[in-house]
Amino acid sequence: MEGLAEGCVALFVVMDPLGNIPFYLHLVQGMDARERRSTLCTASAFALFLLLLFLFGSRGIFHYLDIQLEHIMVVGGILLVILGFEMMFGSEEHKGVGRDIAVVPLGMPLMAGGGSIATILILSARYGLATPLVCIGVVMVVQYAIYLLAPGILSLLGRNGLRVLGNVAALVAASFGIQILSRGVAGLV
Amino acid sequence: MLDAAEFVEVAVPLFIIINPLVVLPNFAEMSQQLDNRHCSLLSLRTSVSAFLLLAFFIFIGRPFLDLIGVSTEAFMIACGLLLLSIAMGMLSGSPPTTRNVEFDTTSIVPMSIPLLAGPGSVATAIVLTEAHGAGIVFAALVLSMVLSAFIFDRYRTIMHYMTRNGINAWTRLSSLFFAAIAVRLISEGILLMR
Repeated sequence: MEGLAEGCVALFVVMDPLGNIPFYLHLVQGMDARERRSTLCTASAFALFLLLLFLFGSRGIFHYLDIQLEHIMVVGGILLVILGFEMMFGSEEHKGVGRDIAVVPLGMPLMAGGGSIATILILSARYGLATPLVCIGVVMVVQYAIYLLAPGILSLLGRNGLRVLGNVAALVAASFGIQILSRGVAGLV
Repeated sequence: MLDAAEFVEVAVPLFIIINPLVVLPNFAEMSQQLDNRHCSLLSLRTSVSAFLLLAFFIFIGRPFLDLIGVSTEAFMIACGLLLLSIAMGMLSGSPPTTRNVEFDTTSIVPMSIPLLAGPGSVATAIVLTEAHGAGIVFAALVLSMVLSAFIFDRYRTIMHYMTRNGINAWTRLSSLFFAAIAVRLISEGILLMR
């Protein structure tokens, strides 16, 4: 299937579950294993629903508004560059979070945020429905597994290792954004 | 095998962008709370982690970027933008940090990443690798990192001779270098893209 590797890697980098592990663990501290698992399930289901909603809903809306592939690529590219900046310079401090974290912020924006939605739109505009669908499935499963194993991964890679990975992900997300943006602009002019 | 002139051509820009002197104020601040043994550990950890990240990009960077269809030009532009923003922060005198993390002595942020091995170094390493091959860039990286570790090791002497003001001036000057390199990366990337 065309663009499958590209889509999976891009979506994974943009969602950045590895870099988000410290934040995730901060969110679920004080929960036992069962609570964590059920929270994770709810969050994943919500994120999946959101991504699929955008994947299927966007096509009709864009068609209706006469928005073309290039327009989506320009906007998505800019969004991804901004996301890269946020991943690199954004604060790691977290605002006070309530008890119920499953939908916000875990489901959105941590799992399904602006960056992943933009990536989904770009993928569906370029490759049709099948590729982004498979990518979403693969990355969501991997992400679920990573969050489930988060404490182990944290002790394996260390806080520093995760920060390094987060910075690499920021670079990759920003350059992916620039690439998409330039293709979009090239298509428009 | 190793052409001396080419090696210099690779090693000098790499060392300038890695720029270990800029990290010295951060390093001095952190090491004040440490005894000598932990201090050398800190210097080792800082250099090694920056080394690993850059080595990763030298050897695996290109195929990894190919996988998501990112061209070198796009990577140069993105790194240039991020580097420019770091340089602007340094120029205005605020200490260059990325995320507002609490400092602890085990941290490699911001010294190793993104100061030693930041977007500028990574982009430079990839561009140099494409032009000269991985072997020579890796050799230049090893040299740069050995020099950095040496500088961290002798930071007291260097700080003594350069004085705090000297280091601050150097940081401002380096931020200009960084900004210039960033703009070069962006403009070259855009020109190559056409």
